[in-house]
Amino acid sequence: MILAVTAGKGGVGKSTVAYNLASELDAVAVDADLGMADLPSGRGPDLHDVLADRASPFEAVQDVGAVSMIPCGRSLAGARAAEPTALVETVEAVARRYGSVVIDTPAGMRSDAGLPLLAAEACLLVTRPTRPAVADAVRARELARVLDTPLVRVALNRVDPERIGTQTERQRRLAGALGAPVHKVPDSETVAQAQRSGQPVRALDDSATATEQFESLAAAVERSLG
Amino acid sequence: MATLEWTCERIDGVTLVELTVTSERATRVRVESTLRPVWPPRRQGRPAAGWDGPVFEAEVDEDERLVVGYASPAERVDPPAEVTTRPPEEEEVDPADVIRALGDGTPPRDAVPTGGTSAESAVQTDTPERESARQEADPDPSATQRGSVGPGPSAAATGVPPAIEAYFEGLERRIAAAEELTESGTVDGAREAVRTAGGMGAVEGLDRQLRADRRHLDHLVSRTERLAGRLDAVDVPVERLERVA
Repeated sequence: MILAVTAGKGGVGKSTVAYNLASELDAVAVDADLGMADLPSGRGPDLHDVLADRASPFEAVQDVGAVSMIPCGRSLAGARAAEPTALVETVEAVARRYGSVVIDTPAGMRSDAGLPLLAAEACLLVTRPTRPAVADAVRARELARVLDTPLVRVALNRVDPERIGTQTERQRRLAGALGAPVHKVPDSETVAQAQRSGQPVRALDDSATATEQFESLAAAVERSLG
Repeated sequence: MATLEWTCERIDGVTLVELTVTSERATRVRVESTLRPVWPPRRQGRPAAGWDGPVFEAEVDEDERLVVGYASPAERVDPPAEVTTRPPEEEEVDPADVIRALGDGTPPRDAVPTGGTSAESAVQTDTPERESARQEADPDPSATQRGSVGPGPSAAATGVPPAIEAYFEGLERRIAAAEELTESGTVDGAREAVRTAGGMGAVEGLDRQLRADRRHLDHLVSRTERLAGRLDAVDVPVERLERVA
């Protein structure tokens, strides 16, 4: 399975959702945000090296943490030396060996956002319950449509924990506009704390509401992709 | 059956070719230039859609003209290209199409401190933070630094501000990269060294940067000497000032 986690704008918690989904799906997280990497990184070759043909995709997979991942590389020079189109064959190779890949896709409407969508079988759109975030989500949805990448779920991130259980009219409209079921992830200090320490939220608290929400979101993605 | 018409114009050592392809019925055409190499039109730095080396493929409708233009440094020949037809097929989107349509997200050359190809990435791959993180985690940092020698004493050991330490580390890496280029004794070795550095453009960039480094170092030497002299000459009269205050 290759899933692209995408968002119209930055700052909606896309990397957090991607990382936790990779944990739940036992997938390799690929940080494809070439210009602005977000997922935790270590030493050793990274995605920049793979895309510049200096390392094989498998050399760049880091198996040490709770989630296997290919970090991105953080320098502009590395980003410039990388061949962006090689991302497609890279994630395909990783998916063949490891089974599942979750790509943390850059925000925006340029090719760095488009290529992960092209590589993926399906995408998941992360947004927040604010007007500008939703407007950008609609644009990201259009990009996925143009590239023929089906949208399996919308993750409405950092929802007021009090409202997690209730289905609002606004949420129904959002699902209608984006054309996929909306799944809520609560605003939670545990999630933020986990992300800061480079761990999935399950590692900190496996009975937290957020852990359960990520688990059911992953299950829904798995059902959709068979 | 597709028909090919052409015009060729030779300007300043470049042949500009314009082809017009027509067909009696809708078909897919494959146009292969007989002039080599071909300089195809580009979008966002990639050859325009349909181009693959000297070959251009596209659909042509009946009663429509398909116009194809390209350039080549080769002398003109007639005909400059050959056309063959194939039944239309479903077209797949490829990654280069995405870049052509949406724009290249790669940081521009100007955004990269020393110019931006892999030679500089050997020279300037890491931010100081990541470099120091790497040194903490790695007992032998020189082993993980591509094309470079180990860094000097770390910032923590010398107490030098991190920005200055990072400057010297960058300088050390550039000099190491230049030394590698200098040491290649054979023609093959030199070719390989240039390739590893990212091509002649990158090598020239490195050369320019090193000349600038030379000037900066000379300036730094005279400035540090002046400052060291002044530093030796001053002695803050703490005790006397304490009495006054």
